[in-house]
Parts: sequence; structure tokens; C-alpha cells
Amino acid sequence: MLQNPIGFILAILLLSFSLTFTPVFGDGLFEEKLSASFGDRKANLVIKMTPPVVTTETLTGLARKPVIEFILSDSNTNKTFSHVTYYITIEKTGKKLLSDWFHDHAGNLRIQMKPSNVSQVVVYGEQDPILNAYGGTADSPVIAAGPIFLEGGLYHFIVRIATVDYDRTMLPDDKQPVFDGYLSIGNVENYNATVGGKDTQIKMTSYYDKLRNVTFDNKEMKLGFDMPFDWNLSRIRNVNIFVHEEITIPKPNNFTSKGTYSGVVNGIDVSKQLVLDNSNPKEDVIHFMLPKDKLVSLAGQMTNNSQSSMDVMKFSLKPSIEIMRTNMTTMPSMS
Amino acid sequence: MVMKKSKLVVIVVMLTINAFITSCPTSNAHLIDSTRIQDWKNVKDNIEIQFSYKPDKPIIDAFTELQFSVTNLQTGEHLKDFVARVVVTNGQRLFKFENITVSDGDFSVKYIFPDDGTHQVILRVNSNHLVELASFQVFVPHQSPPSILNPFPSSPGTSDNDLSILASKILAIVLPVAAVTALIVMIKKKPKRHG
Repeated sequence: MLQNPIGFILAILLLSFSLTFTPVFGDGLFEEKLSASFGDRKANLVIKMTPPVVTTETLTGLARKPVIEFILSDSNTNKTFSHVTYYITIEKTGKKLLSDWFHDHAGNLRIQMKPSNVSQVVVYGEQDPILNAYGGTADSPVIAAGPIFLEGGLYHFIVRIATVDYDRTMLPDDKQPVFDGYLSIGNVENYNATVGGKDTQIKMTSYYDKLRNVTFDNKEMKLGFDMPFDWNLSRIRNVNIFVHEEITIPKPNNFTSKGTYSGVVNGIDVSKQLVLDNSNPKEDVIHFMLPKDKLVSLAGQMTNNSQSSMDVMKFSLKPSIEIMRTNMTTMPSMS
Repeated sequence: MVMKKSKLVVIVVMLTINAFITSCPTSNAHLIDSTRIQDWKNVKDNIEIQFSYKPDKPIIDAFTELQFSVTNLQTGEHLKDFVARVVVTNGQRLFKFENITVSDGDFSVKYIFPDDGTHQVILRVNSNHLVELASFQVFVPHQSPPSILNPFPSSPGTSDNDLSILASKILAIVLPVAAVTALIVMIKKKPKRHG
């Protein structure tokens, strides 16, 4: 447990959220649960990534690259459909990275992503003779190799279902369900700040989208950064969404001396959404955790404020004198 | 008198040609000579695929032309420069036409159906920005073997009493005969030159 504190902490965080909030998997995390209907049937599609937490930093070290799994099931019976043909499109910031047909006799499709710096994504797998769709097995998944998952941020998955139950009985063109979801690759940024005259490397991991405009104000002892975000209230209401930002600051220094922090998003205090991990005596890890209901509330407040930027999320973090929520200790650590 | 007869011949010939033209079925702008068009639409990718086959009652062990037209759903313009793959199957047999290069939307393949029944035709279109799969059906009617009393059997579903076919046959035979007869009569009655 102590050998992998990060994994343990994330597990605790997820468990605590599952107990205190309606489980939110989706836009900004490692799993999506989506629903769609075709004809008089309704289907659920789960898109999930293994391992669940992947960042641009961990990708380079991973012996086994991440696998995306697609599982289509009947909403009424919860039984997995078999002989499923998927048309999968993966986009990032509007650019199409992959778009092709895949098939799995058991219905449970697995695609392993192998990021590499080449010009386009190439798919490797067995192709069936009728539809020419790619298929694999549990031990030997289909592989998508190329410029995919090279960068952190949100990846848009559009999945269309063409066959269920039988390999070559295609659903009519107007009855093929389409699922729309997002998965996130953590984007790691390192920022060199001068804190109290001392060079300090601050690591920031975004599990939603790429961070930019990182600043550190030594006078106010305030760390600031931006992230692209669509604050459209209707959009936020209609998707599964979770924004998670992680800031790792080595200690001791003037920024970590108080052992507690306050956070602001677009000028609105979100200190109650901060979680501190101070289990490591050498660093503090501060998590901004913004679930859907909080984002809806923030969006509502911003809609009433005409000066707010509706396409960016502005974070700021500074030491605080108030005791904040931690998952590891109840008292702030003294550095 | 001679001029009047020449005019009569010209009129008869023109009527014959017109009879052929009007007895032909109306044709689709993309798929020629087709009475049964199957349509596949993908609204999201803005693509429409039309399929038809000729003859519309395929004959076993004879060529059937499978015709495809791939267009932009909104504008109707042909999709350009793509590669197509056609698979014909009846669930047991499978025949593939691979790597068909299409420059301007319309293409066709010729296939010999080995048996009757419903066959599935699956088209895969690979272009720069999309990969589309579409499924169509071809019904090959059961055909009776020829016999001495009926050496040219027609397929079930056709009717020798079909008025349009009968009228076309009559016109196709009678009018040319009438035109030629009129011409012969006119030539025979041509006044002889006096010495």
C-alpha cells in the first residue's frame, strides 16, 4: 500500500466520491458509460481504459500500453451483445486520428494504443472476410499504432454500431445507434518557479485538457494556470463530466509552509473541492476535484457574470490558513 | 406523288424510332436502366449510396450487373476518388471484388449468381475521410429448366400478358416491316424512263 501511495490515494479518492456523490464516470476520466436506442431495443456502451490512470509521463514507462475496451450490452437484461461490429472514430481537438471498422464475436472489443511519432495511425489485426473489419482476442487485441495518445487531454470517441447478434445482418442505416464519449489522458507539465528565492519544480497533471499560461506570483504566493473549457451550461448538464487537476509541489518552502491551501476557479472560491495528499514528507499533492454538479453550479454563476470567460477555466492556488480536507491526515502537516 | 410517298416512308420510320424510345423504362440519372433502386444513407457522414442491378430479375449462370452510385447526401455530387470493395454472399458462398478504384461516384461489377434465393451485397467505401459499409439485397428467382414444349421458359413473376411488353413486341416487329414494305412498293411503282 505504501509502495504505491499515488495509486492508493486515487483509490481512496474514488471510493470516497462513490460514497458521497453519484458515481461520475465520463468526460475527463478513464471510463464512459453511454446509452442509445436502436429500434425498440436500448443498449449501453462502456468505453474504458486499462490501466485507468494514464499520463503522458507514465505512457513512456509503461511496458504494456493502454488498452481501450468497448463493451455493448442490452440495457434491459445487462447481457453483453455478441457479434458486434463497431465503427470507431477517435478525434482530438477536432482532428480525426482513427476511423475504421472493428468486429468482435463476443462483443467485447479491445484496442491497444501504441503511441509513436509517425504520420498516421495504422491498425493491426485480423480482418474478417465479409466486412473487412478488424478483430482481435482477449490475449491478442487489435493494435492502433501511430500519433494517438501522444498528447494529454480529452480524446473524443464516436462509436456507431452496425451489427449485433449476427455477423452480417447489418442494422438499417437509420437504426444504427451512435455513442459519443470522451476519455482523458493525463497531461503532465513541469513548471520551474522561484519560491522564496528558491528554484522549485512544480508538476501539474491535468486529467481533462492541456494546461497553459502557468504563472507564479512570488509576492502573493499564488500559482495560476488556465485550461480550455466550454462553460456552456446545457452541454455540461447533458454529459458525464469530471474535471481533475493535480499539482505536486516539493517541500519545504514558503508555499507549502502552512500545509493548507485555497483554490479559485474563474474567480469563484472552490477550496472545498480541494483534496490534499501530504503523505509524502517531501512533497504536497493538491487535487482540484470538480464533479458535474459543481461544474453546473459554477457555470450558472458564470452565466450571470458577463465578464467571465466562457471558453477557459482559470485556476489559482495559494496557501491558506483554513484547515482543508485531506484523505490521509486530519491535521495539516507542519513543514 | 413520289415526294408524297417519300414523306410517308420518313414518317413511318420516325414513328418506329419513337415507339422504341417511349417503350423503354425511365432511367435514373446515375443508375441506368434501373427500376428498383435500393438506398443507403449516412446522415452523419453525409453520404448516400444507391444500388441497383440489371436485369432486375437475375438469371442463374448469366451475368448480372450490380450498379452502385455514391454521392454527397446533401448536394447529390458524386463522391470522388475512393476505393470500393464488394462482397456477394448467400450465407454459404462468398465472392469478393476487391480494390475497385472509382474516380467519380458510379461503378458496377458483373456477377454470375450460381443459385436462386436472396443474396446479400455488402459494399465498403474507403475514401480519405470516411470508411462506409452498406448492405443491399438481390433476389434471384427460381428458374424452371427448359423443356421441349417450352424451350424458353420465363421466370416466375413475369407475365406474357404484360401489355407494355406485348405492345413493345408488336411495335418492334410490325412497324419496321411496314416501313420496309412501303419502301419496296414505292420503288416498284417508280415511273420508268421512256427511251
